[in-house]
Amino acid sequence: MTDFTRRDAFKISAGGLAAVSGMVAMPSILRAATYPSRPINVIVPFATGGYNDRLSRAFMPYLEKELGQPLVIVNKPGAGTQLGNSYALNQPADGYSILCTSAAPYIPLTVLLQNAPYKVEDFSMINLPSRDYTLAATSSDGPVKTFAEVIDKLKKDPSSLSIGVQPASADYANMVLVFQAAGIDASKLRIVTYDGGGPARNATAGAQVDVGFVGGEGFLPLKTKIRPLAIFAAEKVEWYPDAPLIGSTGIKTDFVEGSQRGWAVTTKLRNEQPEIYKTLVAAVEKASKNPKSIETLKLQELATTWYGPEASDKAYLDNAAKMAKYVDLLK
Amino acid sequence: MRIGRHSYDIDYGHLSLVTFIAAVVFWYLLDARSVSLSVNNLLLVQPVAIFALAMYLFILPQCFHRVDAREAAKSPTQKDPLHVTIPSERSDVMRMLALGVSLGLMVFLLDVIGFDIAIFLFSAAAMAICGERRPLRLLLFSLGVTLVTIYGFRALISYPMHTMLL
Amino acid sequence: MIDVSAFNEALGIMFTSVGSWGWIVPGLIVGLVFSAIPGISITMAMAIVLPMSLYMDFFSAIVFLTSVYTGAGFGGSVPAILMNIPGSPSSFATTFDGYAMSQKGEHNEALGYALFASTLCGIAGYVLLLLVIEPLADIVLRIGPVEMFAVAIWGMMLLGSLGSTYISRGLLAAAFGILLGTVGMNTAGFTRGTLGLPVLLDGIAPIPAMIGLLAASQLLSLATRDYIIEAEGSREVSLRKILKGCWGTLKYPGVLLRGSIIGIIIGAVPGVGSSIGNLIAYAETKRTAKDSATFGKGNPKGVIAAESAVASGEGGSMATMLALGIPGGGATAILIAAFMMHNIVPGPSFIETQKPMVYAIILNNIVQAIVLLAVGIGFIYVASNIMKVRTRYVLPAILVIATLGTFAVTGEAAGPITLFVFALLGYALNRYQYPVSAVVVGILLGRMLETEFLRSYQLSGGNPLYVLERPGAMAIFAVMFISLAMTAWGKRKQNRAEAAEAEAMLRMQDEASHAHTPSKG
Repeated sequence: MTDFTRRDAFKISAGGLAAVSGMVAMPSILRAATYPSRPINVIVPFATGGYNDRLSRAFMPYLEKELGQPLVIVNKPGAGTQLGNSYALNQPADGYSILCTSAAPYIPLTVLLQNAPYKVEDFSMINLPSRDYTLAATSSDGPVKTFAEVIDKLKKDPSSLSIGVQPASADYANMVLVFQAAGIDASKLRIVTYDGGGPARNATAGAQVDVGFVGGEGFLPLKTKIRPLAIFAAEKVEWYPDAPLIGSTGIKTDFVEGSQRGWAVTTKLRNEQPEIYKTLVAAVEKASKNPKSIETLKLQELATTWYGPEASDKAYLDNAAKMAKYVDLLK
Repeated sequence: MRIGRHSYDIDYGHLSLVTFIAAVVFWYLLDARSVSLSVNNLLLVQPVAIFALAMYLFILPQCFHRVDAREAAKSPTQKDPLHVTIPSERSDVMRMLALGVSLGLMVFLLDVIGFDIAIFLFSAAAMAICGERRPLRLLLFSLGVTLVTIYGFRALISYPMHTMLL
Repeated sequence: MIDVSAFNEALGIMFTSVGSWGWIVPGLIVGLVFSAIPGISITMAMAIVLPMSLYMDFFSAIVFLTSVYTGAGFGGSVPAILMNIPGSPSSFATTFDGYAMSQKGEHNEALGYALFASTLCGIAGYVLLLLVIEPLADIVLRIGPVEMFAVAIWGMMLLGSLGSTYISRGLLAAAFGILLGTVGMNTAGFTRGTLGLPVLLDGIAPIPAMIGLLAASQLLSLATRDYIIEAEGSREVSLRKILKGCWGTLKYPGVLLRGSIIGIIIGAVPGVGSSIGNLIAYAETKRTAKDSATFGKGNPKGVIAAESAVASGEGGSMATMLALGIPGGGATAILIAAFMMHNIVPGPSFIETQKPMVYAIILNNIVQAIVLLAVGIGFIYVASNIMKVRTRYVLPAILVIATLGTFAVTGEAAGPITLFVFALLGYALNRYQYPVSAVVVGILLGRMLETEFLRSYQLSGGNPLYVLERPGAMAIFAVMFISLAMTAWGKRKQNRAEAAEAEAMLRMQDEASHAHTPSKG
């Protein structure tokens, strides 16, 4: 009996499928004219409560006002954003799915290290307001006081200090680069690996490891528990002015910038639906410049700086190129 | 099967289960070793996998019963009251299997025929397997389950559910 | 220690914002209902209501969310006891004796025990938190990989108390579970056993796997029965019996205390949550109990031990969140997000500058636990009625809900497929007398075991003497071994007396099992 109904249902569902796909294939011009006419999904490839999730939720009311449609936040965590990215690429390029993500270095890293089935260029940035940098830090009551001290100790005996870091990350690349530049034998280091920034920060603040290399922004709530040794940025970082720049520590080293977080769409949407893309860019720009949104987000330690699509794309692609250059350090 | 002077009975089901587990473990060990031989990769996986394979060798003989031993073990249970229920157990096993198969069909068809249809069909099938035969109840209750779960979960989660009719 | 003037101010906040108290009952009910749905974890329940709380003022939002958290901490034990489906890993140990009790027709009492253990230890956890929030936070940060590895090993010792006819099969099942738990990318960035599937990069999803393994052994077999409990007389729902269970909890202060201490400490450690506390509390209680042989067969102490660790773990987790701004688990990560969305950043500076608010939040949680007593009794009274419904209605609905619950974790068919694959595995394991719970414990702890073992190795540079530099780890190992040795010593006499009887029992079981295993060929 069940077999019979199932076969029947198959027939019905086949018809249904055809009808649905017909609707999807509706002429794109028709949709562009009325865009947006229904709620827009914001795909966040991280779990609820992370930076991107909070950014999207805090920014949501201001962006909704500009777009005139409600936003729905869809958390798609997993596999270092690969699941969320693939999900975004699988959605129709109709402007009803946009991304709020740590575009760099996550998208390049999934491509370089996980053989993700997409290219870095498949994503186009609208605006990446949040820029993070690797911070080398130690526990506030730890014996090490400066970055030069770390280098000295490790030069004498590479196993004298333990180092906490997330493997296959911008932080890891920076750590290897700076030790290479200082001529430290990396194979003898005591490197402790953490599968995320959070655990690495806790280990640093709790003096479980002597030195931690990890994205600096997440340290802000724990500021009193750590001592910053060096931040891997070219110029003074607005949100952490007392962190010494890596350039000031006396070691000449190249470095990779940390996470760049913000708003993105698929390149397919930008190319096939230029009108919709323009609408989205204009809405994000207006919302980012809204004094009220700037004030609210600042209170929540979230960034609103407007860099625009060109500058954001450039920063993203530069980061991807640097990651590709140093990919061998990460493996 | 005869080995030496004894005749052995093989428990093929158990043999295939334990061999399946061992094969998975062995493959996992090879897969892990093919990624890297670094201690950072194999520290726990390798010893645990080897331990599991050792356990496999230890369990393997349990799949073979000496026939005379089995008969000796069997005779007292003939008086066991449980023995009478074996035929009904067989039909019970069939029921469980049928329910398992329906569950599998539902799981794999969710995205194909839509959540609503799959849930409706599974619900009706499961009711039938559990002994409900009245068509009206089959229809109405399954419909109720489908409506409540689809609309309930749609309100709870932000992920799109592929549905046919609802 | 407690700051009296801040405490008085906290009382002030509590009473000036009485309006926000109205959110306690709705929050508790939301938490209870959501977490009673198999597959929906505490974290998901909170993620679902987080957007709602954005439109409330700060204190109301926190009261609402923490009420959901408190309610969800208990809700998971209802399906665990009635149907042997743990709603989340934290109620896994509750199934051992809870389901056994309900099969004996003592589901009313079992739920009563669970509710009281949950609320009493929840209160105990928060009271302790009020006293030691700052020192606790400092200790928590110092807990390193070696200590965590010791805790994970302790969790694995639960296996010893699960019992199985064949030790070798139990060990194989546990090793297999551990290996399954390590699938995916490990903490050092190596990816194993994913078959090239991106969903497996983060490992096998534990909740669908756990429900699958247990569902096959219990849920599918319900198809052969008319009702969840076969005996007609025991299907009743009785307020008197629920209250009897509630009252009975008070007879085991030792179990409650041990569970609370284990729960608070483990709950406070970031990244562990309450999923391991219940296993350790159960194993410890069973090992030290005089009547340990009846554990797993419906001993109320098993239910109390498991639930007490879960509930008190909430307090510990909350301490880490408030004092350090670090999430102890997924649920507190969402609480932190809610704080931030109201422009408040929890952490050391928050606790220094806003101590009255911190106290007010803690006090409110104590109030919630007390309210949960009343709301919980009503909830279990309603939920127990499922016992009176024929399985032909319950079973399809539960299986559909569990499937959708596992879908809701990531919004992909991967969840339901995991559920089904593990249901098949669970069925086969059960049939050939492999302890399914050993596989579950392995899956739940495998990742933690590997991660912490690996970090300990990295930190020590491979030198085992490093453990001597970690007094905390040595203390944990010492407590573990002393407790083991004492139990062994204490039980020697008892064992000798029981040896003869046990041997006879074993022989009978073995024979019975041979007869039950249908052999082909």
